[in-house]
Amino acid sequence: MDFLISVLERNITPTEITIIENSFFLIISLPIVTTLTGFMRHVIGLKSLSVYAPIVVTFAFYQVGFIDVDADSNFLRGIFFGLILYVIVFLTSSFTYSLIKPLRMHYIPKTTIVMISVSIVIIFTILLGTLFFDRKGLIYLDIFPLLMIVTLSDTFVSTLSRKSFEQTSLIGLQTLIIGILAYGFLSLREVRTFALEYTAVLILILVVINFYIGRFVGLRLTEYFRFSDILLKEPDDRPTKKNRKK
Amino acid sequence: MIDLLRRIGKNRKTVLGLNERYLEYIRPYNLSPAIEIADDKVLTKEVLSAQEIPVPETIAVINSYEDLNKIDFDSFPSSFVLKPVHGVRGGGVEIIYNRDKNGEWILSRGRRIDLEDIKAQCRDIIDGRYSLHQEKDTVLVEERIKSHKAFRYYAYKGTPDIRVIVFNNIPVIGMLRLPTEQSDGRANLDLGAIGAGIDMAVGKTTTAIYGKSGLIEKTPGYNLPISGLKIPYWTKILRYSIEASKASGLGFATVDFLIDKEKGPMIVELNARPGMSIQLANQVGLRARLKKAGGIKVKTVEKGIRLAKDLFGGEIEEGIEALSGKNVIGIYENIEVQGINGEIYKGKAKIDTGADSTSIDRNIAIKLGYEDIINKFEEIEIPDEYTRKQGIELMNKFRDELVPKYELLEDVNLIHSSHGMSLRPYVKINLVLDNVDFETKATVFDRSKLTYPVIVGRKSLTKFLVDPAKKKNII
Repeated sequence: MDFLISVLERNITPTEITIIENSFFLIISLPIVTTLTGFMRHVIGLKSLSVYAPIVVTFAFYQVGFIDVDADSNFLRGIFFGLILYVIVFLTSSFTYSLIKPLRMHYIPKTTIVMISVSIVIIFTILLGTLFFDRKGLIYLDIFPLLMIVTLSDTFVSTLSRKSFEQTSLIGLQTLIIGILAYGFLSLREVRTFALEYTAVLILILVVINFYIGRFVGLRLTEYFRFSDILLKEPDDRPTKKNRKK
Repeated sequence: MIDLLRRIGKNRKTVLGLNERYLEYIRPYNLSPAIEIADDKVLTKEVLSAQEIPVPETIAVINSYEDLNKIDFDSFPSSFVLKPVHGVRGGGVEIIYNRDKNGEWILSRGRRIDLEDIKAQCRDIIDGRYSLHQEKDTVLVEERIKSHKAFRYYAYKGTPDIRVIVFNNIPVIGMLRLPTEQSDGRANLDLGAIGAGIDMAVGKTTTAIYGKSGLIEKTPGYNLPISGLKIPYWTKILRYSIEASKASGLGFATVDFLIDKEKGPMIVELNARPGMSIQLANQVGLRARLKKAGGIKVKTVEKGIRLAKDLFGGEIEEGIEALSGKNVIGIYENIEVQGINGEIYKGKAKIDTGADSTSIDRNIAIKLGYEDIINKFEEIEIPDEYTRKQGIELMNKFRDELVPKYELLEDVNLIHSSHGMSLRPYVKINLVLDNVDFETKATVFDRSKLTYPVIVGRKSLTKFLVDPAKKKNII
């Protein structure tokens, strides 16, 4: 990063440097989130709705955290408003989808209907939220995180068309956990400093981790629970039985 | 605690997880042309029938509205199944059981539909109502598989299916899936069906899981022990699964079977991504089995079958049954006699190796439709007393006279018993004993004063070994 800035240095102002740093950090954050998603999937065993969903959750939460800039507790604020928005989008999508599911419709128009319902509900939420939070809350919300969260309804619909509501909720919850963890990680000042100062090292670490996860063949953490019956069996009980019979 | 961790550490290497399944088995052994075959039900059937592997008969394939207009539903048999080729989770499958006089088709629970309803259902499938992302789909019309008698008390409504995973031309693990009330007659574990592990040597069930809720021992409906259920045609199932894996090119494949009561096992589906719950049903890790099967060169189908039986069997009554190929039964067993009029007698019977032949009570025989023969026999005048020589003469006379006349009458015999000599008819019966279904001869006489209305004698026991120590739950 320093190298890039030094190249541009002659005609760059300190404000511009901050802007570049911010954009750069957000961009390099993308593979960090997907690395975490991959880790959670293959090593821990948490599923996410798609590769894109945890990214959306992370950045939406991240941006939402900036509401009312004077506050110190950006992180909790992000979690709070982010969660509200996420749950509202999920419930509205599921509800509308369940209503129009029996109708014979093409996929995109169907998703659009769902998205219309989500948009209406979100607008009302912002209006109501503004009233309740004494004008300090949701009205300051940046439009981009909002748009991103609304587009999640597409992901929800596509999962709902293949899986039951219960299964989708469960995966939705897991996606949320991954997103919140990623958001928490990226909110750490040390991570940001490290990413900006040792960019090359960070990229190298990401590549190495992903090659490792990519070739990982061990059991996932959740599989240790799933197969606990087999894993807790007396390892030698079958062979000895056989030997006795012979 | 340390012992526990060591145990997990050891067992961990026997279990196959999703990561390894994909990287070490699906990727290297299932190449995309093979996966394409497995993912398309119509193509699967073409490939398998070309190798003379039995699949349910295709009645029609409907690709479009034009196809639909050309189809004459009146030419179909009265019973068939409609299904979407790319259906998701069994959606859109319609089973037609029969057709009534008005030309309406009868579905489950007695629901009836007419021609317009059937066409509407086909249009729905073509429009992709049941396919992933509502994409255009194809209707597959197949013969209906009639569930085999062995599963009659075990499956709720639907037809149980048998799943075998084949790797390196060796069937490595198997599972019997039984539909339950909770799964609404569908054999899908996610929906609450029962998955029972199979002993690969003899094709008998071992442990079982119920949906996602863990191990169970008895069926929720009839409360029958699940363990020990013998799957008919087991060796054929192993053979077809190896042949299907070869024909499709899937090196690591799931092969799903249904068993028709007349035609035997048929392959209904191939899957290139074997599910991992089968390990829980068997309470055995798949990884250890795959490692065992991996290093062997398997040149013939026969060798594959033998290896499957030798390597992955022997959980239940290993030895005797596997060696002799005979079922081990106790002294008292539940039996079924199938009548010629469709009636079925169910009850307990004594396995009597002291008796020459099987005998059944007169009243039961009448209920099962043998009334004509019995009446005929009782009309015959037999002298009150006769010598052995006269007895034999009588026997020969009636044998010549009656046997050719009655198809069901096998023989007439002179029986010496504690009651003296008597002439008795031998009839052909269909007996189900220890889930083995076979035809045998039985004498008919009045056993109403005896403890067991049916005894099974030596001549009917050639396929069994009798173990007096063996006890079963007798209904």
